[in-house]
Amino acid sequence: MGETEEKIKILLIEDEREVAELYRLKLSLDGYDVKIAENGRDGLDKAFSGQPELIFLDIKMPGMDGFDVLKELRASSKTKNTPVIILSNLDEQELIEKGLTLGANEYLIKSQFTPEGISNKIKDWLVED
Amino acid sequence: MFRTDHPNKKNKTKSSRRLKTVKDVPIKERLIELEKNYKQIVDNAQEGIWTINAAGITTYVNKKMANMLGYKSKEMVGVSFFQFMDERWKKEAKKKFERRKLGIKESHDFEFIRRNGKRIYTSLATSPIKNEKGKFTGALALASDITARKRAEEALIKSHDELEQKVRIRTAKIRKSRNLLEKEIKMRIKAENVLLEAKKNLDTIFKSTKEGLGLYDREGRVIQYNPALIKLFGVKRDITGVPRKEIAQNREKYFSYYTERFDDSLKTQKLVYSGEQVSNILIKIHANPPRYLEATYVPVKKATGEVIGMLGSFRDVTTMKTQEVKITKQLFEAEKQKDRWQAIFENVEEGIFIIDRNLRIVQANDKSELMSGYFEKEMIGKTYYEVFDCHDRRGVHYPEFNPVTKALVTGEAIPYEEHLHTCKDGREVWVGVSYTPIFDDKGKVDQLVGVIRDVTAIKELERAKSEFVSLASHELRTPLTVINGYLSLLLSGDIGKIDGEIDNKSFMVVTKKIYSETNRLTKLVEDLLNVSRIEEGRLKINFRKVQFTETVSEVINDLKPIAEQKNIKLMVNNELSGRQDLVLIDRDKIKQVLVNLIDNAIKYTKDGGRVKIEFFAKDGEITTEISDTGIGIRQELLPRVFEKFQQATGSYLKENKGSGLGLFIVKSLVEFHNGKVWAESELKKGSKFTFTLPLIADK
Repeated sequence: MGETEEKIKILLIEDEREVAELYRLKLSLDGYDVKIAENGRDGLDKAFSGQPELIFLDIKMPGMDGFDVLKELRASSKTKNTPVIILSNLDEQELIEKGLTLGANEYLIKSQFTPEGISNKIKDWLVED
Repeated sequence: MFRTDHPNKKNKTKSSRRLKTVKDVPIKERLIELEKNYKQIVDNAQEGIWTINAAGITTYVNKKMANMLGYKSKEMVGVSFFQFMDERWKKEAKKKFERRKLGIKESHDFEFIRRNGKRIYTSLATSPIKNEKGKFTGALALASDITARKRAEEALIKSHDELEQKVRIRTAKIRKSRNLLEKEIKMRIKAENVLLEAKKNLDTIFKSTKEGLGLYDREGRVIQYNPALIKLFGVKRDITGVPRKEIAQNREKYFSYYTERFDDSLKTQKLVYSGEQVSNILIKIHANPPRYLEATYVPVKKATGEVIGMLGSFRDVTTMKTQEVKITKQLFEAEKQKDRWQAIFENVEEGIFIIDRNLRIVQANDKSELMSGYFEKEMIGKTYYEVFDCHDRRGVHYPEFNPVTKALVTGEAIPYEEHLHTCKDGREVWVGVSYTPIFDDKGKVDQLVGVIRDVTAIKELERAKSEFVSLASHELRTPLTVINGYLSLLLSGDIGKIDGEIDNKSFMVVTKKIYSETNRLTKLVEDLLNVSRIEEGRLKINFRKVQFTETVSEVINDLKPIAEQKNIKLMVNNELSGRQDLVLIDRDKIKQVLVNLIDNAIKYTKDGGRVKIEFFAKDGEITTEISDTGIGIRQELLPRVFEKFQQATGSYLKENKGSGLGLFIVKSLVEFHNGKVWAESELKKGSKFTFTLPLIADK
């Protein structure tokens, strides 16, 4: 993806500011257009309006958790086909299964990945035209 | 209400261990042991033994008793005692049974109807059975077959009558015709032969029976007596023709043993000759060892009712006497044991139920009623699965899920399993169940005893624990993610690219981030350790006399830079006078309390806000208030802010970040100092946390 091309839009729904900043830094460096949403409601608004090509979604968030967000994303025609990668530090098998059942494309444990590892995952889910 | 998820194996074994110690009460063994002893005594008894309950229903008969009546023991158990006799004896038995209820014990003859319809004459020694409280619970009878004696009586009467009859006829004929004299003589001889024959039969019975028999004539003289009588009394010289009165007055002359009677012998004789039967006369023979005889005297009557003699029968009841005492004692013990067992059965914390081979419940205790929502009456006859609608953790129902049949087939106990039960009212309960088989005499599993315990609370604890671990690891991983992330960016050279290009991120900024996340991690680990120490009671408090104002000042000095960073005004209002601020505290712990509360106040207050710390003395306490102009706490969350991870919500995914362990530790530490802590808040206006510490009395 060259400088002239339009940047690929990534939405990061993450309430931990430091974590969000870290990923934004790396993904921006890798040439993505990164938007951050600090909570679930904000995340849905940005997902519907911004039409990102891929969404990273945290699970443990105040008010509306990641599963609530995922359900709405999958229920909306605008986002039902958008790849959603859950990015959480909760690793209970039950939660992983729940995420995948609700339609997440992948469930990643943050602490097991470097920012580069996360960035590389994007390529797996984006189809080159 | 229950979570079927997160099967945590470690916790499972832990809880099952705990359950076992509570439920393993050896009542069963003790009862079985006792029953074994009891059974041995009665099964081998020479006499028939028969116990009935207060309703007259047979609760036990030994082999001997059953044999006498031509039945098997188990055919008689459960059948009314009154079924084994004719209508006339039934009336008699009812009267006797009333006497048992009054606590009277006695011996008497009794006639039963055998299975083949024939009568059997018995002598019964009967006594009431009472429970520990003295309540009548049934009766015990020891029976011996006295058919021999009865036959002897009958035979004697018959032969006597026959003779008289023939003599009468013959005499009449003689009167009619002298010619027939010769014939008459022959007939007489013949008649006498009949009598002799009858006497011979009688002799056989006389000689063979173990019962001592003595026949007396109209005047009370001994006509005949049998070998058994000689043996029982130790008769040392022939007593034929000797009047009873003479024997009674000179017993030592006729008998080898001293004979002690418990009646007036001559009075008894008078009564019998007046036509009455006298039974249950106890005679003690002072042989070595002594033995007891039971005497029965029966009048021998002609068809006309005229008394022509008396038959005395004497039965050795020595073994019966001792056994009667033993059995009564055993029964009493068994009854007592049963009561104890019943008391335990009804009062244990566990539900206990007994199921038969067809999985049907035959007994269930109170706790089982509570757990299932059914009364015992409703449970009996139903299968275990109908009552409890149980399924395993995957939701598999009976019959696919069937832990009981295995125990029935293999005879192995099932130590502990967890099932989810649905009660009658639809309530779901996690229960821990174990089954122990009870075997019959052939070693086949007859019944299963199920012990069932509500483990919902344990499950809830497991869930809370697992949630705590899950949240703690989540909290630990978050700073680690950031630290690792930035380090990897530094290592890969990505940070170099930032410099001057994007934002003003510099090497220094990243290093500060790593440093700050490391601090966060350290504090979290510290908090987790504190929580663990608090919960396990390992937290040590070193009380010292401390000036409170000084302690607060130190904390405020430490936190000032953080407040200044957010442009938050840190105000202190100290209303303590010099002598009023002495407290007995662990300085470090109270500093931790202050840091936590003030740090929270700063964290949740927006830039430019205000945090106020006030303290004053009142009622022997120092009260400290920390108020802020922050975001506030929702009213419904206020009662739970001091819980760790606010785990009681059940939706921990939606909690605010940072709501973790700090306030739980604050509350624990303050309470360790005999103080109190509470929170007040108004959403978007701010919060106020207050805690108190007892002052040292001013001397």
